[in-house]
Amino acid sequence: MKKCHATGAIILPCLVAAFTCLPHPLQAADAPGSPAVSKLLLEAKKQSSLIAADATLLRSYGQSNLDWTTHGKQITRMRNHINAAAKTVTALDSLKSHAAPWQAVAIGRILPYMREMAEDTTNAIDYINKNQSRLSDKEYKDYIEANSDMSRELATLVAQFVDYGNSKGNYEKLQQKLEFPGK
Amino acid sequence: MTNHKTFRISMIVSLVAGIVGLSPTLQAANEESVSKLLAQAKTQSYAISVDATTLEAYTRQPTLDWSTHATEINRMRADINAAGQTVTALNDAKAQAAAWQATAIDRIIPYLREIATNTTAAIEFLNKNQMRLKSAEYKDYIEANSDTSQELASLIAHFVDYGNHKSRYDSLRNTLELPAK
Repeated sequence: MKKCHATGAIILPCLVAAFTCLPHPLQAADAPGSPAVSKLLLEAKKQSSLIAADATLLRSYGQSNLDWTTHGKQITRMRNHINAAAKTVTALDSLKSHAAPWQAVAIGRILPYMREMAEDTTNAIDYINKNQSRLSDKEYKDYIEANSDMSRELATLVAQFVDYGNSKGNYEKLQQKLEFPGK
Repeated sequence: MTNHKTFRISMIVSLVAGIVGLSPTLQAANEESVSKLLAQAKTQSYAISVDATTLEAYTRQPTLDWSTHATEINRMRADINAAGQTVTALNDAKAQAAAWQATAIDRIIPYLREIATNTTAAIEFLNKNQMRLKSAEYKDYIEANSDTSQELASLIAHFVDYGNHKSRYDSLRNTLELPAK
């Protein structure tokens, strides 16, 4: 049997730190879309897509008898991706006062998903650390399934906001080029 | 030597009918069908601009026979006639169109009319002056057509693009439940 505490270090310190330090007085400026925010949203889109892929893979492990170390590796990869996304979301939040209203809405909607995923992932890691031979239990499966659903929703949401920003930008550019009013 | 009388290019009858006689009849059409017609006009105007560019290139090659010009201008005539039918259908659907689509239709018509007039003039010139294809008059028709057709193709492409982005933008705004501004 493998050593049970090999993944004992898998805790999400910087993930938790990233979400507890978020500034709160957030104002949406009536400015055009900030290119810096758009760039970060694009980054968040890629990262959330990676997290969704991680979570889907982890969920598929729940339907097999794979060793806990396989779960451990996959959840570590997912943790790293969540941590990277958390940095992006923190940067987004710090730029919120310079963002266009729709970008501020996007940031506001992304945050709770990230927070919930971080929480679920932390719980799943804690669970693996303490119950390496009980990975078919409902409690663990619930964390993994919730994460999988949540991560897919987040990936879709971020992708839609990025798409919205692109369409809005192109639409407004052509509106100017063709010299006609907004309606 | 080519027999000057054996090749006669017919006039752009249906085009003239299509452009000059734009039917005022309003047909039931929604924004989607207008968008489809605009997409069709985009393809057709692109074909016209390719024809016109080819024809313009011919004017820089003095050794080409007039029948080569005639074949190309005949192709162009056919493409303009097809576009003329699309624009007539667009004009008929204008009352049902969105504001931006109506603007598009209004802006397309003068371009197509000008291309038709120029092409008709070039065909008449070609019919009467098969040995004078280097003359400034003929070159002017061809060059003007080339410029106008490229502008038209670009204009329609922009409108089609605009429609696609607008539709995507509106749909995502609904999905994301965002306010209009």
